[in-house]
Amino acid sequence: MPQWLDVNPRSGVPLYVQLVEQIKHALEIGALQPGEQLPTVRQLASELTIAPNTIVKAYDELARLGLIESKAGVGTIVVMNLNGTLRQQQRAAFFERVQALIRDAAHLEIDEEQVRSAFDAALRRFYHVAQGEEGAK
Amino acid sequence: MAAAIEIEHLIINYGAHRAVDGLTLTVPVGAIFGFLGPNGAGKTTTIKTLLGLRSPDGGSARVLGYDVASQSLDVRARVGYVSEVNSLYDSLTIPQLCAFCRAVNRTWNQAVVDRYIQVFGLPARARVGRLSKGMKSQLALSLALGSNPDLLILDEPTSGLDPLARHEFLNKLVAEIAAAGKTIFFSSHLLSEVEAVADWVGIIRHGKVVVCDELDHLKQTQKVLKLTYAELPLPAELEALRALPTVMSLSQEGRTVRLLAHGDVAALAEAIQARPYALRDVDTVDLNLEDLFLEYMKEGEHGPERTD
Amino acid sequence: MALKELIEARWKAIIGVAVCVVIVVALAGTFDLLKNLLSSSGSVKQLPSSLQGQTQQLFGNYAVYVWSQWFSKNGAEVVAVLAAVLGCSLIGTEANKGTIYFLLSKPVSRVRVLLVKYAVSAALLLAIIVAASAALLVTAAIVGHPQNVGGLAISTLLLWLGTLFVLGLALLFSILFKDILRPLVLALILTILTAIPGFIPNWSDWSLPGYWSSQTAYLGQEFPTKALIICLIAAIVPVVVAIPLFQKQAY
Repeated sequence: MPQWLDVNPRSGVPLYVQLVEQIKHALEIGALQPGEQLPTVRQLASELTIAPNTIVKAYDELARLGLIESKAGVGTIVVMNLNGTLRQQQRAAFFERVQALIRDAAHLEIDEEQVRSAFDAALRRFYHVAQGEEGAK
Repeated sequence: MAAAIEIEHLIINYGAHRAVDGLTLTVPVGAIFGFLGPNGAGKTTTIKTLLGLRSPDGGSARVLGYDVASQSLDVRARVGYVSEVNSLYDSLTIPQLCAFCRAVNRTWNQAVVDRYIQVFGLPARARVGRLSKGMKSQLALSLALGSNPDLLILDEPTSGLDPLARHEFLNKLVAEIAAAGKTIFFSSHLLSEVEAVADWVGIIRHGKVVVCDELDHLKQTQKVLKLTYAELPLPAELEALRALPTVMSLSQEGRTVRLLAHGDVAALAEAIQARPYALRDVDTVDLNLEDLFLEYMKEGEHGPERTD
Repeated sequence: MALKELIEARWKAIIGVAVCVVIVVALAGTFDLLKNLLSSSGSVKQLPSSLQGQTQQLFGNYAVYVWSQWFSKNGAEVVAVLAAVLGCSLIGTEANKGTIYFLLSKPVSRVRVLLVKYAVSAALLLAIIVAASAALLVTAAIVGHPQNVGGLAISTLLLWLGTLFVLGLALLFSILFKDILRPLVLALILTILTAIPGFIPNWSDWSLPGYWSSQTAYLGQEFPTKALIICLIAAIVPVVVAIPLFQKQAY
């Protein structure tokens, strides 16, 4: 599993935050599927050579976001809670990005019509043309 | 017992020189605690005091609930120690050394020691004097684990080890020992080592602790705010910025101002943006341990001090 | 713990036994040879008369000769030096090499550590002296002058108790100094100082090494109670002083 996990202890970003982000990302891109089992704290600590407590914090945070669940006797399983906290956060983040995009467009003095047609083109491409495929990859 | 190690206002003198000057530190149970500081800061002296090799000249310390001055035997029965200096008997063979340890420890599990000797790949019957420095460190760790200690105290355990051996050593520490719930307290002057495995960090300077906190928490709460102004900011504005809550220090170069902030950095950024000065950009820079360490080591009290 | 002390001190013990046994065999085995040499060559007559008398006395009686040469003189000196050698490195070398950190971080009291070191060294010292005495017994029997076993045994014990004082001193100084030279030299110097009263007329009772050997005891004529007690007390004193010193020492 840790093939796709790359934590950098030297970074200014706290390790557990890195873990949470990377596992979230793995879920988004499908590298981790619902129902899959995550390594135990001990296994992961051993493979990455980082403190077990840090793994615990990351797992706790992921559980709080509704992404994983710990079942006694079974281990830690991925559950993708589509209406859960994570999803809401991602949605909110998206709309903030939209705001930022428009603000940048204004600063760059791009024509309002051009902005609108760019949006329409993208909507056609991802929402209407590809029927049945919902959401970004 | 809430903490594995509790040190309060410890004072240790080396003749006229005060090596440890009112040091206060707490190591939680189950932590991997990295004790960082430049050479001569007082790390080894503090560790020796915890083990009863020296007596404190002031203050107190408790290890696993036992007082280090009056209950030293209890402390030593429950702590595994690897000293900075290679301190194993060269003239004994490994089995003889194990026999010695078995004789002096009430709880001794030779199977554990044998397993680690095997894992490290040490020649099981060799004379200690024939082992390389790295092997002696590995042997010392194996022996320290034989008494099934609740706390491991390691003084610069990887000094003299090549990077591969160092990585293996730390890996064993984390994978086997920390994962089994034991507390690890190790001193080092290598930031990279502490950053790699420790979840708690204590930085000592001139015999005093300047910070003692979870590493993740430190990284989350200590950040640099880089402000780029549209015009050169006036000195009055700089003073006002410095006086804002959570700002630890400030430096300026032309239209760029760097603030070292501790605490709610997002709120600080908002407060700054609300001020009547045009800002081109507000950037939050994460600090890694090296950055933090350098800040703390700066002369003068603009280096932040936190103890909790 | 005792085994480790034994292993560390093994060479000193082996060399000590070898040296003493060689000296003893040389002494005990050459009596007749030297005696005949002196009387036949007539060189005795060439000595000043005072010396002549002494030489007569020396070579008059085998037992007296052996006692004076081993227990009273050479043996006492050599064994004293050996005792100092055994004791001088007990703590100092451990502190020097760093093994003291390993040792004192174990859950053993410092008192026990010190006493075990002392006991092992004392036992090795006894072994050396007993080996020498055994060699004496055997050699004397071989050259046809069997010795009084009881007297020999008591003299062995007395010499041991006496030189324990030197061992104790060396141990004491070994705690105070990290090297081995200073404890060795200081222990020997202090011992020599206690021997000085022996050279002052009427003060010989105040010489400590004087009590390490007793001619009458060796010859089986009397039991040296006073000497044994004095040597025992002298042996204990340095150890008693060493214990609190070691407990307070910072490493």
